[in-house]
Amino acid sequence: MKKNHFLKILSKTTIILFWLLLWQVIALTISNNLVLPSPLSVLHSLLNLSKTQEFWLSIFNSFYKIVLGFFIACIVSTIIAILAYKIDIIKQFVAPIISALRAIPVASFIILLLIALSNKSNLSTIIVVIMVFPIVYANILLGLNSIDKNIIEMATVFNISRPKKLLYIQVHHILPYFSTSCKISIGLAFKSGIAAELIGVVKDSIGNQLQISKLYLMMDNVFAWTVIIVLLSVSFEYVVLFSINAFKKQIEN
Amino acid sequence: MNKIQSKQYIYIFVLTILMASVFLTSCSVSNDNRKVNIIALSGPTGIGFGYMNNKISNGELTDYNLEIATSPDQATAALVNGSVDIASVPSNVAAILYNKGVDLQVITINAGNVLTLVQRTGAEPITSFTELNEKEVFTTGQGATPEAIIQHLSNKENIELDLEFVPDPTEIIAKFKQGTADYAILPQPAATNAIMQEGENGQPLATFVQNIADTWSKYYPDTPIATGVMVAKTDFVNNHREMFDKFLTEYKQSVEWMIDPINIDKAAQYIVDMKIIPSLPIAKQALPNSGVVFVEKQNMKEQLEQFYKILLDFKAPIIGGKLPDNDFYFI
Repeated sequence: MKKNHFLKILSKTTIILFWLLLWQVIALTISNNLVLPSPLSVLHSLLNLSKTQEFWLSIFNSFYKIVLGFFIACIVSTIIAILAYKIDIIKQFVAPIISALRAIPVASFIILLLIALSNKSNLSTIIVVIMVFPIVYANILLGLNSIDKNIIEMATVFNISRPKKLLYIQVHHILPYFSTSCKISIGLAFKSGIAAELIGVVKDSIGNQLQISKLYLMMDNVFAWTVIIVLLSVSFEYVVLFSINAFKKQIEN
Repeated sequence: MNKIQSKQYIYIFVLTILMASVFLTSCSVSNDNRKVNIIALSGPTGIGFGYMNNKISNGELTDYNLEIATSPDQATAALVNGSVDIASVPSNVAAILYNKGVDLQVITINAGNVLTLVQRTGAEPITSFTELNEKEVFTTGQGATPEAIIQHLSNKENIELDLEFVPDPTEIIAKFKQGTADYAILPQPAATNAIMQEGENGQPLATFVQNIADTWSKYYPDTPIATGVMVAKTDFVNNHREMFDKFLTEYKQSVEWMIDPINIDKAAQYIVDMKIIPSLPIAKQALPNSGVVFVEKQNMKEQLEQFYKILLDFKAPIIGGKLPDNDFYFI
C-alpha cells in the first residue's frame, strides 16, 4: 500500500515537472518576456513579492472574502434546495432565477454591482455567492430528487423509533452530489471573485495586484499572481473535498 | 473510372486556380502602397487627430488606417504584437514598453495636463487641492500617471487624502448622483462631462475646483505634466522614412488646427465623429481644457526626461524601473 502511494506521488510530481520543463522550453523559444515569462522568472517574482506586506494582505483579503462567499452560497442553496424539494411552488419560482444567474455573464453583474454598492470591498463575496448558488442548488436538488422513495419507506417502516438514522441516510445520499458541486464551483468562485476585484479595482486584493502588475507590464508578476490563485483554489478544493469525505465516513459509522 | 478521374482533375484544377489567385493578390499587397497603421486613444491624446480623421473619412487622405481605441491595453498590445506603426499611449506606458524591450521611439507629447479637481454640488466646498486633506477623493488611473501625480503632490503639500480608485469615470458620475462621493480628480473630458451633467434642482452635478497643473507648477514651474505621447515603431521610422515624415506633417497640422479657437465648432464635431466625446456641447466645453499639445524634438526630450525623473524617484515601476536612454527620443 505504502509503495503504491509513493509511486502515485512520484508519477504526479514527474508529470508536473514535465509540464514545467515544457513551459521553460517554450518560453526560451518565444523569448519575449512580455508574452511568456519563463518559470524561473515567475519563481523569482514570487519570492520578491512574498517579501512585501501587500502580498500577504491581498492574499488574506481575497481568500477570506471568496471562501466566505462560497460558504454563504452553500448554506443558502442547501436551504432553498430543501424548500424547493418539499414545496413545488418554490421550485417553480426559483427556476427562472437559476437560469438567469447561470446565463448572465459575470461582467454584467460586476458592472451593475459597482454602481449599486457604496462599499465595494464585499464585491467579490457577493459575486461568488451569485456564481456558486445556482450550481450547488441544482446539484443538491438533483440529489434530493434521486433519493429512492422505497428506501425511505423501508427505513420509515423498520426504524420509526430512530428518525435520526433516516436523516443520516438522506444526508449520506446527498453528499456525493454536494461534493460534485463543490468540485465545479470552487474553481469558479476563485475565478469570478478575482475577476470582480480586478474589474472593480478593489483595494488590497489579489485581483487588484494582478491589474497593477499588468499596468506596469510586469508579466512575470502577472504569472506569479496567477500561480498563487491556482494554489489557493486547488488547496481549498482539496480541503473541502477531504472534509466532505471524512464527514461521509463518519456517517457511515 | 474515367468519369471519376476527370472529376478529380477538375477539382484539383479549380483548387490550384484559387490558391494561385490568393497567392498572387497577397503578393501584390505586401510592399507597395502600404498604409500607415495608427492607433489613438479615446481621450485627450486622440483629440489631436480630429482634423486628420475627417480627411481620412472623406477620402482626402488614403494612406492611413486610424483606429480609436477605448483602452490603453489595446494600444499596448498592438505595439507589442506589431500590428500598428504609430500609437498614442500614456507617457509612462511609452517608457515601460521601451524599457521592456519593445522597439519604439517617442515622437511628440500630445497631452499635457488633463487632471481636474471637481466637487459634487452639495458637498462641503473646497477651493484647492490642499483642502483635500483627510477627505475621500475618487479618481481613475490606478497604476498610471494620475495616481503618481496625486500621491506625489499630496506628499509635497503635506496632506493625506483617502484616495479611492474606480475603473471608470462613469462610476464617479454615478456616485455623485447618489451622493456617495464628494470630490474627484478626473481627466478630461470626463471632468467636463461630470460638470455638465444635471444634478438636483437643475443645478450642475459638479463644479470645477482647480486644474491639478496649478498645484504641480508650484513645485515644478518648468516641467509641465506630460500625460500622453505619440510613439512610433523604430522599424517603421527607419524603413519607411518618407511615409513617416509625411505622417508627422499631417499630424502636426491636425493638432494645430484642432486647438485653434477659430475652428472650435468643427473641431468639436470631429471629436464627436471619432466617438471620443459623445455630445457636441460637452466636446466644445472640454476641448480647450483637454491639454492637447504638440511638443517635439529637443523640447519634448527635456520635458519628458524631467517628468520621468520625478516619476522615477517617486514610483519607479510606473516608468518601467529606469529612465529610457537617448535612443528613446526621436529628435
